[in-house]
Amino acid sequence: MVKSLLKNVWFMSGFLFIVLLFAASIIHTVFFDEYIPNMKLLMKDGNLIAASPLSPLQYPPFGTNKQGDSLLFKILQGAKYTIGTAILVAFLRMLFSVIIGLFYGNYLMRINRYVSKVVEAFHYLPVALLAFMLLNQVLNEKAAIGQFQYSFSERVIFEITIMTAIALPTTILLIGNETNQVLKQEFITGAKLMGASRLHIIRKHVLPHLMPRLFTQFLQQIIQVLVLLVHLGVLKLFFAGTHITVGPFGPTFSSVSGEWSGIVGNSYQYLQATPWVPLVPLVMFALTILALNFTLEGLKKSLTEVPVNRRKEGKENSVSTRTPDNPSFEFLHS
Amino acid sequence: MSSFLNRLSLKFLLTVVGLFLIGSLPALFQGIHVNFPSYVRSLVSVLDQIVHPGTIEYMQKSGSYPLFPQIFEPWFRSMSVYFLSFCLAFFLALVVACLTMLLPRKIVKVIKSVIFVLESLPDVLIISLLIIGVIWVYQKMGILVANIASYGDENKAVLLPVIVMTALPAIMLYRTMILDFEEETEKPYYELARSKGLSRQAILFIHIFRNAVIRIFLDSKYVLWFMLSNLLITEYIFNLHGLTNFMMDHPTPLIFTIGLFLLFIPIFAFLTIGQFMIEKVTVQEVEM
Repeated sequence: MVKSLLKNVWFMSGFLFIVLLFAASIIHTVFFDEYIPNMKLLMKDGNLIAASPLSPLQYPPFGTNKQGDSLLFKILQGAKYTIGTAILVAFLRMLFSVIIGLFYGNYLMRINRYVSKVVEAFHYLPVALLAFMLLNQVLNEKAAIGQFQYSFSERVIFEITIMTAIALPTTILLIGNETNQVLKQEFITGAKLMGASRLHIIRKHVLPHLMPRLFTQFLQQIIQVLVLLVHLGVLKLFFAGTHITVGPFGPTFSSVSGEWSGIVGNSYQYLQATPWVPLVPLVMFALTILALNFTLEGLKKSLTEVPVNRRKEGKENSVSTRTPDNPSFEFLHS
Repeated sequence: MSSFLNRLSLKFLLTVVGLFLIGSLPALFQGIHVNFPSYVRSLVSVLDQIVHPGTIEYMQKSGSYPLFPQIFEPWFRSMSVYFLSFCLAFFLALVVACLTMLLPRKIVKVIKSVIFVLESLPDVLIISLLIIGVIWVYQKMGILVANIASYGDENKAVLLPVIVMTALPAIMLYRTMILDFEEETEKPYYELARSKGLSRQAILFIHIFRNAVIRIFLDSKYVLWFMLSNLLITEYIFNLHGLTNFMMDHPTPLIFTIGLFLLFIPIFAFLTIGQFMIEKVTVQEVEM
């Protein structure tokens, strides 16, 4: 399977995009110490022609934000938080939902009819709204005190826990149902008759059958977390906390980490004046999601492909065409 | 009929229980600590207050007001934007999908890959691009296509939110329709009809369309779910004073729960009517 994935153009292009972006972000942190070039004033022949925010034409490729920071490097700095969070949360969601889902699919299918309807309630509300309700208290800086109630790591752990937990009921149910589908197959009955224990069946039969589904589900979860991050960013809840500064023109919101949704939310109110500042991170989100969709498509294609053993085919051909040159028997009627 | 009602009421009740349990979740966390007793207390108090809807009040800066006639106005605004854009998206997608099915296969393939890219765009990006587009048109031609944001009660920006909310669902519905139509063309009756000399248009509009429309309706449930997130973002960006705005301004378990019910009931009613019609027409049980 790995070999066919490596040859798959869809998978490789999407996968390489994510990996390169992440690697570039890490290199930027480790070797360049998150250095961000800053240009507040644009001079030409000794004359001032523009002040920050500079547009992409004045400061290629992406322009600068209001503070004069190069958006290209801001994106590079934030990439590791955004992609890292999405992958981590999606991984945790999968981990817990597989563990609980296997148990659910094995033992609790009798109550599935009722539980699935209760859990369906999760679909009738915007996920970002629930996340907002739960995170609002912790992530926003208390304007009255001017500082956060909880430390950086506490906020990060809390946010990751919440983002994992709100998707768990639906994914657990999904995996529980998948497990149950596998358990209904005939070969499971065969394995049971031969004395296999439940644990053995799960390890040797259920998990291998679930694996492809789990991979695609994992990628879909990453996409969902990214979309959730964008939404929370627009609602001004940034990853790891929102720093609120009260200024003469109303409060400004900035992100504590340099995460992408922070750049979006921070500049979204100036969409009409400086459209490139929120659009650059949004386009990066779109590209990342597109790359993940490419990966997903490639994965699906290579999973549905029927493995063909080419060598065997060749052998059969050679056997059929071979003619014995020294026959050790003679035909009776020739 | 009675079995239909039985199935339906069970489903309705169970989902309401689910929403009720979700509605008090904000009380489960005190800061970053889990406080289970406070969650249970909140459940009890929400239940207690919800049976006396006349007495519920919400807090504003200027004092407290009775919730119940007041919340209907933002609710009605949200729901009109929501269902208007769904219907618009549905018919738009249906017309375009029927037209594309008449095109040669090669072009359909190209269109499908374009749709694949469009579907990957986050809704926020599409909303932003549309807003920028409207401003650009205004600057170039001096025509304000639609109001960008709402101030006060007078000129509510309703047109642009509806356009914005239509874009992504239309793309999603279009894709499912194309897939459903194509699946129908692989069935034996299509080949038979073709071999008898019926034209592609005739088969598409008379046979495929009739068979696929059920599947399309069943799939549209997922689009409706997806559109709720869209609604939240659209209301926030356009400052629409809708239901989700109201819920975010008053983040208490009671108002959150009531808001969730108000979101759920119209969608459930909509889906139920659709299901009922399909069951009447096809005389078989469909699970929504």
